[in-house]
Amino acid sequence: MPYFLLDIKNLFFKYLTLTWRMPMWTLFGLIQPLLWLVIFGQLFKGLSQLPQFPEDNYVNFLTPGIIVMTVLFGASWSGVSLLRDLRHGIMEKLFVAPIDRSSIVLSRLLHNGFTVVIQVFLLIIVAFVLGAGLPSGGGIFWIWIIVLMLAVGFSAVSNTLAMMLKREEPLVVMGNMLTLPLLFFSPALVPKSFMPFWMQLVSMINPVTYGVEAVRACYRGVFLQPFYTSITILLLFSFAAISVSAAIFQKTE
Amino acid sequence: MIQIDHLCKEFTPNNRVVDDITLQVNTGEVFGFLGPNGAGKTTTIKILTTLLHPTSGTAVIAGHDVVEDPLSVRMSFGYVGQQSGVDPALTVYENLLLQGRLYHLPKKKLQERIKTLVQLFDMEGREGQWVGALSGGFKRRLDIATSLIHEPKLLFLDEPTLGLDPKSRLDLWSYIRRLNQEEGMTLFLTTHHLEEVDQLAHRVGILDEGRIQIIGTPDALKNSLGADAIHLSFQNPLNASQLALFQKNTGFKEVIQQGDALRLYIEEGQQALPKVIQWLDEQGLSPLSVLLARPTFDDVYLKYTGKNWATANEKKENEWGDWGGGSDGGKWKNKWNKEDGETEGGTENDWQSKWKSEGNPPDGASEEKGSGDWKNKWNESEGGTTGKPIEKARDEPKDWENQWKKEEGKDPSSAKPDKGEEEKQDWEKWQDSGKSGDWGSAAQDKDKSEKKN
Repeated sequence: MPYFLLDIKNLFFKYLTLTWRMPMWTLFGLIQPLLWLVIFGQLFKGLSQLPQFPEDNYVNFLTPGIIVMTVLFGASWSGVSLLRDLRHGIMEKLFVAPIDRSSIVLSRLLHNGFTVVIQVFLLIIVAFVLGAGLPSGGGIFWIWIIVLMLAVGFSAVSNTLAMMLKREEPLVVMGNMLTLPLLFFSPALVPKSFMPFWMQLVSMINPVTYGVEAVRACYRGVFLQPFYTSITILLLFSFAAISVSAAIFQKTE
Repeated sequence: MIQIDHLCKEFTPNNRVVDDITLQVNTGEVFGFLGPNGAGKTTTIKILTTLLHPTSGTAVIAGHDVVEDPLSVRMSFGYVGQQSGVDPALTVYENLLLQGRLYHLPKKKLQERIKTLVQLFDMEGREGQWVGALSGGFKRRLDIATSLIHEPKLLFLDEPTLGLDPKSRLDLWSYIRRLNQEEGMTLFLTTHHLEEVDQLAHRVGILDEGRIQIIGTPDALKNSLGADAIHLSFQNPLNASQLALFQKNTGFKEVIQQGDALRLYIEEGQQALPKVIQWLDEQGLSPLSVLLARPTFDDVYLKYTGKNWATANEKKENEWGDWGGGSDGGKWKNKWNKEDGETEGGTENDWQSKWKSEGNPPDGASEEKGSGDWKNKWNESEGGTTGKPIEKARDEPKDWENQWKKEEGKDPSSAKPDKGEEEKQDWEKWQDSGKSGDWGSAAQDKDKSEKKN
């Protein structure tokens, strides 16, 4: 195996070991999305009785949104663990090892993606118990791919911010500041047609929008052209985010 | 092994953290970089370890340029940074294993290497322990062990004993020594412990404000000052003409003034001390205290940077890093420092003026004594970095008391310096006896007994 891939593999398994030793963190990450699913689902139950509402059950509609939300919450913490490594000198030790810094970035992002995929798997089961149904056809596999792309993309954003800010407090503030608007400017909680026109415009440049729509398509089992457009946009987004993040790792002294 | 030429590093334009460093480290040598916090030690090491890019100048390690061929450079050295660097959530064995994999060691070779290192650093039977639960000293050992996984011939140690207790520090020193003596490794270490370079390094470079002040063997640096140091303290700082008297006297190899204290460096200080005291008397100077000591690295540092070790280390690095690094943060920091300094100076003056205003005769003997005590206390509280001289300063009042007791038959505890007249007489008597040589021999005796110890 070329050294580059070997390094990614070694580091990926290292991060996986750390997660495996503290599985509680992965589970904690699920608590907030589950609360949203239960409470928000109850609170806005009546929404589905409106004539324009696309689904007959609000939890059905909400579940894809909450899946994407899990990804956002999980990814926004990724930079915090990077700062831990920086503070402990662990990152410095990696930087003087004869490995390409991109392999450090990629192994981190892959690991974040993998953790989120597991969280989403658990979430799908809970949502099913709550009556949301299951993704139809090959939907579940597509969901994992979508979630992976979103998670890698947003983790890259979080890692980039961490490298730039170098401190945890502003990073957490930034993370909180970004996640909620990203959700509200997407059809995660209400259908797009319910939004004012200007919010609809903003939602078009929001990668979360395409994530939510693609996951929703998986639940419905409708894989038409808009679905593939969403997938393409997500692919571009995650690729761009990875590139920026890798560049900043290379450049940082 | 290391060849550095005119190395410079600026983080912001025209602010050189590393300023024109040129030096060479030979194979098999232990080179120590000594300097206070913020002197540029870590920055230099980070350039050498390819973590930072130099602004100008070159550095070649084991035949590879750090900028042009960083990968080859990285294979040739081990690096132990200031922070631990080992992952606290993994075990000792896992840390070593991962490090070996990152250096692409073949499986069999890696297992052998781990075994060797575990033995070398006395970690047998503890391979399965969590690093997070280990003591600081053990963690440091593991840190060094992991950085040696690929058998480098060169090891960088950035303040390796930072934050360790004295025992762990001594332990670590013996491991470091062994690496050099038994494994023949070249070591480049930075520290702000004078003792550490004295103990470990073959050659020392003193770094201050990014510049190398001097490079030499620890002994040569100490010998450049002469065999002995005489520390004098006066009631007030000496003025220029008084200082010139000392500088004109060719008996002194070096004269360094520091506030109201003066350090003279001299050959055969034991014999010279009585003469020096006599000479001082002839010049009409009466010091509050006279100490004879061996030059330590503190003296060396003082000579080459013009700063006392203790005060130089007060300059702390900006904790907020980039965040406080904006113009505001910098100013704030400066202001803070200034205020801090002012209050410190302020208390000293207040103390003195208060003492004077409390009805003590301005030129009486009681004040002499009072100030002396105060001075000694002050020295004591200043901290133990100077070692021997302070020990002596603490002992001195005892001699004074004994002498007094002997000559006057008085119990020193019952005699209080409230009567200026009486006190003055005692003082003069004592001074006379000092002139006749008693004082000098007392100091000599003590020096001898110290040597025995």
